[in-house]
Amino acid sequence: MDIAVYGKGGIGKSTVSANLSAALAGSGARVMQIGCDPKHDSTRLLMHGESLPTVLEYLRTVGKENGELSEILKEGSFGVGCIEAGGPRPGVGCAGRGIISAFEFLDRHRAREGYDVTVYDVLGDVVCGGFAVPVRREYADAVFLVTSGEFMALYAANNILRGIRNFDGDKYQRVAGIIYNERLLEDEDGRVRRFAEAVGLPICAKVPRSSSFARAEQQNRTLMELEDCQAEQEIFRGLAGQISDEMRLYEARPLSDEELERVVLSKEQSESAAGNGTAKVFQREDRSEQCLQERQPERREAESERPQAERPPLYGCAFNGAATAAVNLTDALVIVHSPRACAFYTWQNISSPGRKNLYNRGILMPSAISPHLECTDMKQEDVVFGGMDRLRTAVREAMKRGPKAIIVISSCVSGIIGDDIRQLEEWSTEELPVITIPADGDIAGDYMEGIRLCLHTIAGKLIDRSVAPQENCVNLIGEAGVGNNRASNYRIFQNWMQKLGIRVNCRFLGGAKREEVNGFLRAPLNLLAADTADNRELKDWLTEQYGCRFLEGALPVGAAAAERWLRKLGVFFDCEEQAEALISGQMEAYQREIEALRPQLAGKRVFLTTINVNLDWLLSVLVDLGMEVCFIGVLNYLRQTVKVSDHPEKYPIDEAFNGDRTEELLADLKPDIVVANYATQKNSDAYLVDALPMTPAIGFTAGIEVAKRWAQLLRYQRKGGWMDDRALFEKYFS
Amino acid sequence: MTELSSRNISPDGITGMILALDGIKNTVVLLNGPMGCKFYHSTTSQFLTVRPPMYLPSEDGSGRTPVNYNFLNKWFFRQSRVPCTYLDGEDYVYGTTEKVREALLYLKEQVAFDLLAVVNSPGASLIGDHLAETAAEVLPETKTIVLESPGYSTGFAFGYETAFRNLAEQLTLPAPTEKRSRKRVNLLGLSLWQRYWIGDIEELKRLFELCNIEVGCCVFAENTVEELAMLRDADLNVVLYPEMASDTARYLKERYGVPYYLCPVLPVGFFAVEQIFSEIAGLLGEDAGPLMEESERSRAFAWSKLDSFHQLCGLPNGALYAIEGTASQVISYAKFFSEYLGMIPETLEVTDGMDGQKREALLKLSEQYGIDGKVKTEMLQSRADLVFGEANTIAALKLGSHPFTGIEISQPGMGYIDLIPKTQMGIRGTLFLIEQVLNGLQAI
Repeated sequence: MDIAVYGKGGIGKSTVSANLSAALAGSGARVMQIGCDPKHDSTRLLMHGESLPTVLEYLRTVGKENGELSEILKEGSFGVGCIEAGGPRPGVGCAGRGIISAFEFLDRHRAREGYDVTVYDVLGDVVCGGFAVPVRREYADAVFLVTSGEFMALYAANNILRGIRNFDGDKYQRVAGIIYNERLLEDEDGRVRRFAEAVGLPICAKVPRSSSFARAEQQNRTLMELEDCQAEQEIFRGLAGQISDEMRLYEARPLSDEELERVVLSKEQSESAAGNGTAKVFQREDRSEQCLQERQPERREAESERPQAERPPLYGCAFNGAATAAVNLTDALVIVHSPRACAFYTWQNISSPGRKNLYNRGILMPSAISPHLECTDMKQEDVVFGGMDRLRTAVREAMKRGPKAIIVISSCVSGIIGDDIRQLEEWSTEELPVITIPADGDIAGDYMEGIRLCLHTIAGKLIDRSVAPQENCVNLIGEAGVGNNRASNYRIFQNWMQKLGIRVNCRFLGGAKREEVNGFLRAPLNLLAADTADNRELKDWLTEQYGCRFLEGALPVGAAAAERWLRKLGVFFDCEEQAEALISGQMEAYQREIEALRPQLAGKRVFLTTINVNLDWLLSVLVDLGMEVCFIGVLNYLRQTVKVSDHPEKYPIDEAFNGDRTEELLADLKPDIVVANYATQKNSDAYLVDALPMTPAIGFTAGIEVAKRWAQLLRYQRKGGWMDDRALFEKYFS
Repeated sequence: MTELSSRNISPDGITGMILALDGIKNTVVLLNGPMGCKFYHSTTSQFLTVRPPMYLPSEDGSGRTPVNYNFLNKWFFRQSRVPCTYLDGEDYVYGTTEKVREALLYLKEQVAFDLLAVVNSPGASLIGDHLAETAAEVLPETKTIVLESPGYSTGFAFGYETAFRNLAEQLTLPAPTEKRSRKRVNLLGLSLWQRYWIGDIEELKRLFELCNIEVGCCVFAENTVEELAMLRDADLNVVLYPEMASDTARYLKERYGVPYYLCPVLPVGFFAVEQIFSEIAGLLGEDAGPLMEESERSRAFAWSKLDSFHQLCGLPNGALYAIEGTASQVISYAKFFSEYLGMIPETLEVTDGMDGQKREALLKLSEQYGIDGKVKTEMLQSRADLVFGEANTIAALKLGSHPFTGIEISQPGMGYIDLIPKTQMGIRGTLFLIEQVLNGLQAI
């Protein structure tokens, strides 16, 4: 049988547990006591003062997967097997996780085998998931609450009942009752009695204030080993005698905070309920059925206390976004403070376009192929004891390698256990800044929030406000993120800038050195890399913080946008002639393509579904071709402000589209072309099915390329033969 | 390579757990964690397998899919594999139980599956929610595996083995009732994560067939739950990757009496294949003769290509090679390259830990074949002619000036989409590997 003894810190639960274990062992049972309090002194009396190596300290030394049970299991008086789970130093790590880890080790080594009774002595001040592990049904068969009449002790006891309630609901009865450890307070008996009545539990034992306990403490012995304290010994023998497989157990019925306060502090009520308020030890049969009937309707604490507001899902995590952006500071070293798992996902996210570009196009993208990203590889012991030492070591080692900056990013694991990465900023020097980004996994927000956090932090730390603007240079803003065509787009952009005689000052943050970010304000004009909601927010922020000027619009996709954008750039830098030369050559080619395609595509109806991205690069081509956009459905799963066109009034846009009505709409609208990414459309000879590139190439031709493909497909064959084989797939693979 | 260049980062235990369990057909692996931990696993699982959509479109009349846009809902987030509970900061404070319960109810009502697994993310594992109880409460009749502790920086093999051991302990395997006409083996240690897992299985099955041995369950490599239930009905468990399955193989022997065979190396290279299959055939009283004959024929064929090549440039003998991989991989490939192809190990780097026995084997290889009895262990410093590893390392080395040919032996790959199953295991796999080596050395 497994017994959990819970109580507030300092209430005497270790003394009670040790004496109970001794009494049980004295009656012939084989007993193990497991201390689950970070201060690890539960078994001190049983061990006659000898301090045991704790499970967690031991695992820290030998590693989670190693170790021998015999190293942490020692025999105490009466043959009681003694174990201390241990915990981290105050203020660091996660004590709850420590309990979980210790129990995993004990389970793996089948520690409880060979014992008739296991007594868990558990700190009840914090009933988080970790400290509630002994309450789980695979551990505790019965739970005792140790309390005095102090309000905070009763509060802790009530909290423990809440924890048990969350596990058991009203299906199980596992609470054995209250062990009342007297403190000789005024009305103490009354308080405990009223509480016991209100929660419907018996007081299984009253342990009176006695000098015998102090004497036993001084001798590092349990009471059961002392002479001249027969009365106290009898209490624990009596308690031990109650523990059996047949003992009566009760449902956990915690009080609300208001009820608790009213019941415990209200003496008047006590007198009316108990007659004269005389101290009385309630036996099990004293449980009042009436009291149970008056209780409030049952509810689960987690359900009732949880904030009810619906929170939108977070797409990706801030940690990943921040790290993906940070590696674009190319002479910095990024250290992620996390288990390897988080760093692995981030590495793959960063390197995937790098690998594909190398393999398919022979393009080398250094920051994507070999990001300067390292991980502290947090381990079990860091999670329990705190990971700052490991992080400090990693940063110290990184400093030796000569980076121009060190960027530290926290994961949810390091965030939850409370590692304060900001301490590392104290190590910053002018030559080597240490920049910390407390993303805390997704606690700070989603992937895009991580990018935002990273860019704001790096800007705040590195941009030199004293730098004066120079002529003919620009910053490119907002390339961060993962895109397969980032490198090829930059080539197109660079080619334009060369033709216009403009220098690129800083790619913030698509691949910049620290010095370039320091000199960010050298550029009199900033260009947005893409027209996204996040980039627009970044633009506003940079404008507000640094007075940055931006050219209207982003790097243009599509002919009309490119024409406008280049012309405005030419005006700003007084190179209109070069801009016009560039535009005219491209526009002539564009018009030739339009003329060639119009006969075939004019009048065709297009049905589009899209995530929330600007489609003007395509829509303007469709208009120029005389095609009709019959529907645009926006799958706005990021719940951002919808912007698929600068001229939304021209198109039938459903901003709340979720795909449900597709079949119905297709039947009704009869499109010739259906564009839908990430969705298999029903086979039909009635229309052509296509998908768009997620990040189209900048410049004049992206829309033309799509239209040319449609024209070809419509002329020769609407679809490949493979598209008829969905039925075969379902036949052979379902 | 610059001073700042970092080693690519290998997968952690949670990836081993998820990709192991997701390798069972018609299984749902619910990740109790943030979406940041989901995307990689969902994408990888989809990329590496060919599977039916778990949701059929509504027009088929199944009534299981409420929208045409598959997986638009909040658990799957437009990806067909590895739904997740999309935890956020508040869940770490208030607990994840309600979200898990909600997800389980949704899966119970909307998705038909044979096995459900719930895996905590590292962050979720800190807060101690009792997921096993929640799963038992919501799905009392369903086979459910709950892994509350994914480990922290433990490595793929640890996660894989933990998942396997948990699964094995929860299965109650019935005693075989029918007498089989042929000997049967199960293959342990396979996973979707292996670079050529489909081709590996095809080739291994073919070779066992040559020895008149049938293959029962290929655990975690598209096996069904029914096949898992028949794990006991085998004459031998063949452990291909001891670091991933030896503990569970021992457990299966202790509990059910199924003996096991630990492959001394992977079946890579003719000698290793011949040794492994003749030993297994010997243990089961079968004849490996047909396999030995095919191996000889293949060696003869390979010889003609190797000899022609050798006459032109003296290679492959003396070519420098570098390998990065698990201890099993590094030792197995190195033995083949040095003992059969006469190549010289320049760098051997083990990514996922190794035991004393493997360390000794690696040291012996270095002493025996390395230049002056030594090999380098830092892959990013390699100057080898041929680099065997995963694509991240190969790509990183391409940033340097040293010319070499990179050959993938592990995930992740460069992104090449395989339709024809390939393998570097068995006889055909050995020929493919020789083919890659010869083509890689042509320009030297």
